[in-house]
Amino acid sequence: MDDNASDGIPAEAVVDGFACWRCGLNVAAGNAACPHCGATLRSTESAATMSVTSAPTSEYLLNLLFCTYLLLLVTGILHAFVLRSVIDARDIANHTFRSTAFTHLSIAEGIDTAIIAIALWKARHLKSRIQPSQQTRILAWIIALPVLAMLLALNLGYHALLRSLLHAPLLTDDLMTKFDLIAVITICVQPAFVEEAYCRWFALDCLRGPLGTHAAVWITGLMFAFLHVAMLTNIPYLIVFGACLAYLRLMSGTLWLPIMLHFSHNLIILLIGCIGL
Amino acid sequence: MSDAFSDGGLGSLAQSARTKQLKSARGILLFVGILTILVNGGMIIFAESIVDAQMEPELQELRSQNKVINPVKLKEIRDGAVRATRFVDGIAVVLGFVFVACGMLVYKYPVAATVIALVLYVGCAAVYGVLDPRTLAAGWWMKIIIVVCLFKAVQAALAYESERKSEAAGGVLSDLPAAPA
Repeated sequence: MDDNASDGIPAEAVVDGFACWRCGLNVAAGNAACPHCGATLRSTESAATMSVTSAPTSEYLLNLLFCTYLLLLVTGILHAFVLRSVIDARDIANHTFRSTAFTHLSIAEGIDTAIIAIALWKARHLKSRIQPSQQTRILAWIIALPVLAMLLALNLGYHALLRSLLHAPLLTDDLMTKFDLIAVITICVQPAFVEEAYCRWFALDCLRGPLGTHAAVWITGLMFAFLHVAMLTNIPYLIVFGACLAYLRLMSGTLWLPIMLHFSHNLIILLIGCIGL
Repeated sequence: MSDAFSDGGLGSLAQSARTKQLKSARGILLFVGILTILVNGGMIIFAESIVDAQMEPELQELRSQNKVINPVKLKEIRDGAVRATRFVDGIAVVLGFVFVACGMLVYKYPVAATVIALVLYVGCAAVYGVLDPRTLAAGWWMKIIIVVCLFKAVQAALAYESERKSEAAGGVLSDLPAAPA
């Protein structure tokens, strides 16, 4: 990236500029659109205030993204092994299974939260420049409820299919038997805030520039699914779930909509599990 | 402007280094893809004998304990295991084709191909590791080399793409260095 920097910059080439939010290349101050990737620049004033030295490059952000992804996968694998050992050691009459499993889940989520918090802190200069039109924003909020209903139906149908194919209850069936504070925090609150901040904000904004919207949406969906490696059977559904939330985030221009949908989705699934439907 | 800049000498050198990294990424992706297709394709074909070989020691142990095995139940379990093996290996074969496709498209869509390959490779290694922990330890050094190479390929692809866009846009600004982190 900085080959030219090390070789010296011709004096006449140095002009007032800033890094494009999408491709990371330099753009002269005053441009309304990036001449390299065509991205619309928010305003020349705000763009000009992004100094060349403070803007993180695409390379730096992608490095940070993949390092975090690797660490989160390692946590996921370790969590899966611990969970398996808990399942293997459990006695049918052992009522401590649920609390043990939730304790391990809380620890894994705590580690994940710490890793993601560090990544988000390091990427704090990343400016989200998603600017959908007013109509698109309204449309996103209108279709949010039908999308949630569709995702819930898909989730329930997919898990019913899995149960019939495997002829056995799933791990989530054992965990979602009681509605209490630890279940709400670990199943609804932490994933809604932390996973959304990582996948739908950081990863999506990092990848959208170099990859384009649709590729970034589906790759973040894939990353989101793989991060749930401890719950292997959920992966195919989670790819679709992640992609839907990413599209809604892009349409609404805010992270609050995916956070609310993720929270509501998990809360409804938890309630359905507790009722025993 | 110096000659090196005006004739694109240094830029060309850097770009050729990136092209080399992309070339090695292409080689790795094709290698991983073809190997995945061959190994898992073979496992699909020989799924029955693989399952039999894995079940035999357990059956022998049960027989040595004078336990009676229900042949109907055994056939059911065996068939289920063969189906599961074929399903998992089938997914792996599809992944192999995805790696080959990424390798073939690495010059046309360098960033997309390398990022998809890296995300998929690491994710699938994790999934297969959870399914069978022995796969994590098997060839771990090779996995690390592949991940590092793909990681470097993503960086090279990013720089390659930026350079290509700069060249397409032309102008003095393309000579400016990208913003440092």
